[in-house]
Amino acid sequence: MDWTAIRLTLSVASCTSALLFALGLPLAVWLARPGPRWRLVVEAVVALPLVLPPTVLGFYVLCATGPHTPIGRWYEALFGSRLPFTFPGIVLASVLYNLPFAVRPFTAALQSVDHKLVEASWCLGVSRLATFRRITLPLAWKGVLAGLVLTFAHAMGEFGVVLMVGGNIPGVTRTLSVAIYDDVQALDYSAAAHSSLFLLGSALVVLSAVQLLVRKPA
Amino acid sequence: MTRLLCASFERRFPGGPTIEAALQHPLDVFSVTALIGPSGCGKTTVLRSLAGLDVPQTGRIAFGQEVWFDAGRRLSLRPQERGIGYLFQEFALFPHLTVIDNIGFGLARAARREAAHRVGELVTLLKLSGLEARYPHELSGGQQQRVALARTVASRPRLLLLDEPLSALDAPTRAELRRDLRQLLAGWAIPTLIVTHDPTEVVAFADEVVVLSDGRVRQHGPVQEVFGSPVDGDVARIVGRISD
Repeated sequence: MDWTAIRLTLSVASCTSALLFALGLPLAVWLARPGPRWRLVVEAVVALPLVLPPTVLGFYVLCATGPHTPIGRWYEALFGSRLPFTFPGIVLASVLYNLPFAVRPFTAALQSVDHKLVEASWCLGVSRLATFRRITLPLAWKGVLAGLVLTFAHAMGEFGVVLMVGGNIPGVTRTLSVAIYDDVQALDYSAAAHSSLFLLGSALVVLSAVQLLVRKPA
Repeated sequence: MTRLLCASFERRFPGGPTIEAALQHPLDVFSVTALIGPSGCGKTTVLRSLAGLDVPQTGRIAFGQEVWFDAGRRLSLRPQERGIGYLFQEFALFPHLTVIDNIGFGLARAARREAAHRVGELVTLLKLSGLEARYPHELSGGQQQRVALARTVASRPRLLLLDEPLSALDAPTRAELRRDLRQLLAGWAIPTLIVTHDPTEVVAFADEVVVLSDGRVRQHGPVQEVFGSPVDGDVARIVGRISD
């Protein structure tokens, strides 16, 4: 079993989930309420990775973060390193690719909270932020958690974008899916089978957990 | 000089109706004004605009010297800044909180002992003893209504806005609470505006009545006057003097 790849894969999935919780939740709050018409464009952009081939998204991320691009130069000035073919680079690609898997369930969960309850809290003098913490989040946490778990599971199996942006550097960007591809290319079917079984098992565990979470009490 | 709640505004819904409201309500003496009208005439919109939950396009709302809303100055205080108590039609109790936590929800900033004392008083007054640890879904309609009322007045609002407070209840509970509600409101002495479509509730609670129809105020005055001499057939029908 390729433990280095497993560790790296778990790190990518954890970082992706944490970042999408921090960035995706505010975005979902904004998307959950009626707003300006151009919000539809944002919704479409968020949903794009659902239909876009991972290689296409990976290609654009690669082009946008290269050392001669504004983003690339800014990142290098700030952190002294580059994004393509590094761990932060594949996390960025993974975050973009997993955007709909987090933001869409978050938005649905937030929309399921009766807005009257939020208004009732405001009328009791409670601020918007405190209302979110005391009313919206406790009532929507199951959906939010389900979104996070799905994101984690999806990020575990990342292949196309990771390969495009990160390449195949053992210990740096070689995630489990990339390792499986590599093993098959090298005709090492036994290693590929072990890694595949690991991913299959973890996906089953995670999906069962989601089912358990979203199932309504009898 | 008597302080007044003065509201005059227009709320337009894109592609929908326009609601025009003009009303006054005394703030220094206890009094109840009822807004009555057929469903869809804009009663709830008026109440929501007073609460700051809805923002009208034109007009002005002043609470005594305090301006809550002025379209000309692009000023609109948030609901949190108005010091109101709003009772929702379906009560809007927080389903994940117990009776006691629902009632004390708006008292997070009050000292703990003072908050507990106030909640305890309301539990006794509204006959909720023994139900403190229950969740809203474990209560009857009448009990839910009393919890919602307790929650609304716990933070000592300066103005009470009650949206169809009895409509979600069955007939016997409604009759019982109709009797109690006016007494409770008088005890708290908080100026109150109540929305209803039921003329018997107007007679039971209110001193003044505002009759709304098709998004406009048709008549405004003391209950006896409006019920005794409605300005036209429409108003007479709404206040129940002519049956449909």
